[in-house]
Amino acid sequence: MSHLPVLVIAIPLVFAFALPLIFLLGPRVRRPVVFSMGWAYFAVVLIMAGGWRDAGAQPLVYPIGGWGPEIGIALRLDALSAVFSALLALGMLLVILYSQEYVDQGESKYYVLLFIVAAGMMGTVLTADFFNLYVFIEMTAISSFPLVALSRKGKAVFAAFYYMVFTMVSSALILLAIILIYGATGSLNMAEVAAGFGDLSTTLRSAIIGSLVVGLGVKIALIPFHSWLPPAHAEAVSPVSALLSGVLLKTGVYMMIRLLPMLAAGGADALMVRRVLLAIGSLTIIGGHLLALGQDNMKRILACSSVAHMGYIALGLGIGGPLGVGGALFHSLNHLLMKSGAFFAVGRMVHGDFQLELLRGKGRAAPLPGWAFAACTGALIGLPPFGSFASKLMIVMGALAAGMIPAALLLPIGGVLSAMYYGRAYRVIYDAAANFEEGEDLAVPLQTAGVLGFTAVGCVVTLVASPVLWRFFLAVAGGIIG
Amino acid sequence: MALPVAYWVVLILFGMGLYCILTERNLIKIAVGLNIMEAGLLLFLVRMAYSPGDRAPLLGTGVIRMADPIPHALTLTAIVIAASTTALLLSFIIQIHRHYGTVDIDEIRSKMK
Amino acid sequence: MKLHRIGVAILIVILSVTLAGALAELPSVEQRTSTSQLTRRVIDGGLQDTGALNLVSAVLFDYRAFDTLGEATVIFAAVAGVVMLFYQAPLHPSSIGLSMLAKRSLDSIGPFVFLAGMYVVLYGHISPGGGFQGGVILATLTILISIVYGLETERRLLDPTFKTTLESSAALLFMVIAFGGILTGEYFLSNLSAGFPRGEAGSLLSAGSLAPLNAAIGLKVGAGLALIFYSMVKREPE
Repeated sequence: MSHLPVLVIAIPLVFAFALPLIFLLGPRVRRPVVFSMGWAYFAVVLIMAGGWRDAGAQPLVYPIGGWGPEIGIALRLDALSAVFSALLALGMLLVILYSQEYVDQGESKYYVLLFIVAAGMMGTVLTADFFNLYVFIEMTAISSFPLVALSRKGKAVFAAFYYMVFTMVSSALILLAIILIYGATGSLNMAEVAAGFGDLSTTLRSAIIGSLVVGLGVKIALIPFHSWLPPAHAEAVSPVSALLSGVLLKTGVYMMIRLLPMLAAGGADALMVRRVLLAIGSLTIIGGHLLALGQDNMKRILACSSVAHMGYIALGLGIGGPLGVGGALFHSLNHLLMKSGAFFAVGRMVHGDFQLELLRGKGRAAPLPGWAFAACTGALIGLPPFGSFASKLMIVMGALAAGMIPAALLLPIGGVLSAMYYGRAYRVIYDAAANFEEGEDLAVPLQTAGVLGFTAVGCVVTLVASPVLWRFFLAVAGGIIG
Repeated sequence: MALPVAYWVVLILFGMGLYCILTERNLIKIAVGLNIMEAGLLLFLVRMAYSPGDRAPLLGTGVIRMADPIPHALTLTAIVIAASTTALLLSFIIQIHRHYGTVDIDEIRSKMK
Repeated sequence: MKLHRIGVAILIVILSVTLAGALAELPSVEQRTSTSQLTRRVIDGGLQDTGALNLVSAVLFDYRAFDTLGEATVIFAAVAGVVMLFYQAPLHPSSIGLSMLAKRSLDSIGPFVFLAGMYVVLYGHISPGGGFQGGVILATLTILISIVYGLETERRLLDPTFKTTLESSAALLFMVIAFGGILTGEYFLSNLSAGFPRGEAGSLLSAGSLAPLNAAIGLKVGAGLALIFYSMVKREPE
């Protein structure tokens, strides 16, 4: 029996618990310890997920404490969990490597919280038990709130508070759904609940699915539940912005992909959920891009664009079919790379304040972040040399295959809108006529350079590899919708 | 509808908490609202474990009819989570108050500009 | 402004009525527990499976011990977050505590508060209680000391570094016990099947890993909550 599914949760937890003790040993050991922990975590996840290159492999069920899945808590590893765990761990590793300046400042709690987020995300994607899912959602969320307030500036703390209130309401709705599930079926195991769910009355089913959809909608900031996202993602320090936008939102996406097809398995329920997701997704795409057009702060622009991209993913799920769901999965991978890359790049151009005007000419003054920013935002627009072109194409083809022409048109429209606001940003950031104060430190440490290079190259590689990825995500999506 | 009284209380608490969160302009009151909402959910869990005549699920006390122990355990977990979030929420409020000298959302917003 | 409140109120009433409709269709408790494999198994087999008389503890620390690890981590994260938020605020030294009367009273009740806390922690598998509840009682002791004797005294007695060390070590102890299951060839968090002694039901040393897990959680929660309180009340010098 392989213990890997539980190890990927337990190992980052042990790291988080041990870090305060290790940081007491003094500044010398901090750097090597934290970074080797990051790599160790990534390696374990990769070994676990590596077994699922073949999307059709049998799921692996790990009974914690030796109790069967009906009595205790079980972890379940299948293709979808494997994809997401690898994805999230990759994003996490990039964030850990990028935030090296915090190790030097001795912010020990910063890394404690990062590793708890890491463990929580793995738990969220691996657990096969509803209440355990709630615990992991809360674990991930609670450790992310203080990260937003890391700079302890007034705006950042207020943004963290605002983010926290919204997230707690969303968790309460998810908990409500879980309690109703237990009350109705007497079970918390996902497979058992899914098997008996169709027998419940319509009122109960729609109450459960309704509160889940709203709860998850708040979590991934679909309009009209989006207002917490721009301040939280923009006021946090850059590595945390990348973590929230690039990585953490994907746990919400995972839960949507996992739970909604499981509970709204057939007939009227599934159709209703898909219609709601289509409508909200379309609204979110247009609304997110329009919000971004009105911003003067680079990180706010990127944050609003995250709202729009969550819209693309919701739209893909709403379109349904292997192409729609597969496209949503593929776009999650692309969004992780390009959005965290864009935040990483901006974070190396200026510090503290991200008003567009302060970035004038910085793209030329700091060449490596400049190039990485160009690549990542180019990918966010969705033009051909970048992988997101392929994932958007997949969603468009899914829409056309389902005969939804307006939905298919939304993606190019969104691309044009984002080209407008990124174009405006480019004119400022790559302004050749800007003057600089001498002595400003824009040098990039080697490790950070590696992270920036990886995300920028990654945006292109996903297009080169898109024939393989396309087939893989189609297979995974086929496995979910059966 | 023949709902048990406790379920009506659950609905009232949940609705009251949500109303508080959505309309109040005072940060402390929002935190209170969240707690009221969570209290509603906890009551729901506890009531769900119980039917009249049940006793606490302790063996060795000669009890024959027992309440369902699982929701009780879930409640304990949820209480601990709710308490942790409240602690964090209140620390945010303390910090915000130190920065802006007020806990009113509108005043904070106007000071931010 | 007023319109907004009315709108929200109407929305919430509609939601509540819908929810009431759903609640009315929930099966009754008897109906559910008679069909649910889960409940029957826990009530009928709980003692056999875990050796604990307190079935809630059996669920919390054995069947669903993974949830408990999760919630302990949630507290750990909250403590880390609060400590981080107030990291830069140094101790405000002016608090000198209350009158002599209050100090002497605390001297006499303090040991009993400690005793009560430890009792609730260690007897969690037999009677109502457990690590979380007991840990909270232990933390109140440090709060009492801070109020009655002043923060400075509390800090001298229990240094924050000591509390951090205690919290982390207790959390690691939980993980060590959890990994015990894997080392004996069973699963993560296995209890009796991993060779933890069953003992005699109702005695202090029974129910395998339940008591040590409770102790670890109790220390962790106690130290953690004390840290939260300490971080919140210390203030920047005026």
